[in-house]
Amino acid sequence: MNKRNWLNTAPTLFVQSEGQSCEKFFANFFSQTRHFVLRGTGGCGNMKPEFYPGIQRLQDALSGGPADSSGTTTHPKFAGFCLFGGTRMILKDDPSQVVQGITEAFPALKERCPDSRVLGIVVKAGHLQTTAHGIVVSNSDDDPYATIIHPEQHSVLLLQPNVDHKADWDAEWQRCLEICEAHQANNWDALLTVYNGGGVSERELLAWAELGLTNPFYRVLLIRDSGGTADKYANNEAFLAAHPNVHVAQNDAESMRAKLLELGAIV
Amino acid sequence: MTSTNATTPKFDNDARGCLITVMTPKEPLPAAFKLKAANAAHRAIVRVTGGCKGFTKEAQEGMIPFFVDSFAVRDAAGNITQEFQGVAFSGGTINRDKAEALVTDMVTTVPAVLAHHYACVALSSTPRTDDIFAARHRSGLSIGNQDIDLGQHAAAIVQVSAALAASAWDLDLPVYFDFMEDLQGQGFKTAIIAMNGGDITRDEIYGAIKRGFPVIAIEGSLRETDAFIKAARDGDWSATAAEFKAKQLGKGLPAADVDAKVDAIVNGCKAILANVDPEKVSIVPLNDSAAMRAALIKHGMLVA
Repeated sequence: MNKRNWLNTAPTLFVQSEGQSCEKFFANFFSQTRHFVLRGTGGCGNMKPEFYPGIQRLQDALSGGPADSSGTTTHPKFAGFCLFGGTRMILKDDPSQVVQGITEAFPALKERCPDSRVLGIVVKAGHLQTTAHGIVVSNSDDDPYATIIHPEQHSVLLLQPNVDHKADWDAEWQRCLEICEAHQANNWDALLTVYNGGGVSERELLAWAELGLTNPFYRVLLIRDSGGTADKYANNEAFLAAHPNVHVAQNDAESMRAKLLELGAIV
Repeated sequence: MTSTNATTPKFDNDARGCLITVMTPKEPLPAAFKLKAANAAHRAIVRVTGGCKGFTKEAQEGMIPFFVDSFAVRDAAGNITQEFQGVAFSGGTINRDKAEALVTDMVTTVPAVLAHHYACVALSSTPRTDDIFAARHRSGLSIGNQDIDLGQHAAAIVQVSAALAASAWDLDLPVYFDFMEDLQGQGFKTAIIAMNGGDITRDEIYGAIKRGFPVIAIEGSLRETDAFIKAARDGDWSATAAEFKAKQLGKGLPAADVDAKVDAIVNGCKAILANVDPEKVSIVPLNDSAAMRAALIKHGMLVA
């Protein structure tokens, strides 16, 4: 291994203030990667532990897993660009402990899916702190965890209104939707995957569902029995009937894999 | 030179037509414009720059066939075995003849012509040097008396502001250089082809070298491209900024002041050229498609 791998493989980090563009982050989409955008959203700190195992199943379904005893995976894998929240939650009292959340589903794709580009869109929800455990982007007194920029991804876009103010959590999905407009205009394919989630995920889900009524680019995959927003709409037959672009998978790796394959996210 | 009423890209991912953007140099190129490049099957972008001022009729008429022939590899029987599938990028304007048919007689039309023949992506950036018109009696968009070539996939018009009609002719240079650098950073092969041209073409040639882009200079195409070849190959800087000097003197400016300005230009160019990797400069005789093809292959624009 090259001694400088720690540096060469580190994700690039770009900070974008309101009203600015970030051409260098967008240049990630010029990389030689399949033209498919997977947007992943869902629950983080408020997710109940009973839904944690499904995150691993989603990761397996996307990355061809689970691996056999020799570490080999045989199933189809994700190929394309993955846009996710780009963060990790670690316990304040024991930063070696990772708290499960949707943002743990995607970073592993960087290693396991060679034709993928894992891109984080991170909201500066608190004032930044540099620590030995990573760059903290949110640290609420009410939570036992702090949120850091996930160390495993290709590139990160950190969103802030400006250097002195904190961003709204909705900024993440709104920026992702803006980014996806360009892909839509160039006939790429896309899929929003929702696992669990609260009010922010709900607003994103509804935005994609509505856009998908007139544009087939905007497709949604809800994981049933993952709790929260995903469950609310996965079990709403009237909503599903009115939004044929919204699909549902069960909370098991085979069902997720089948839907991801059908929708072209894994190949 | 050929007249035509329409050109259609061979590879077309948007049936609506050519994407038009009007922007200022402080704005980024729109993402939808930039992703056109990512749609190219071959990860290479070539900017075609310059002009054909002072060309003989024969040289002028041979120019477009020269480009079309150069950008493909053929077998002994003349069948195409490889064609350009990267991004062709230029100034994006096209002339009309007296009958108002479009005329492919400028380097700025090369991308659309290539895209009509080969499965490549054609893009342009154009400074808004005059008012923008949409003619009532025919389809098309014009800047002053030149049309925007709608045979391309996307065209960016760069203006200082909506209120200011006449912008500088080099207003789009930083925009297109930044775009090409971003592509280069993600593994795209980059190059510029320089032909003829004046002060702006000189800035483009040396700007490209400064950024590490290979330069394919067409010898015999006159003006600043030939001046660059003299300087790069022979160390002779006498032709660099010669046209600029003549213009300044023609305005009646004091010779000493003009000489100082020319010296500053030449010294700037010398400093840039001093660090160039000679392998990144190719000199190709005008309208010699075999030599051009070899240079395109050398710089990764075409696969042999």
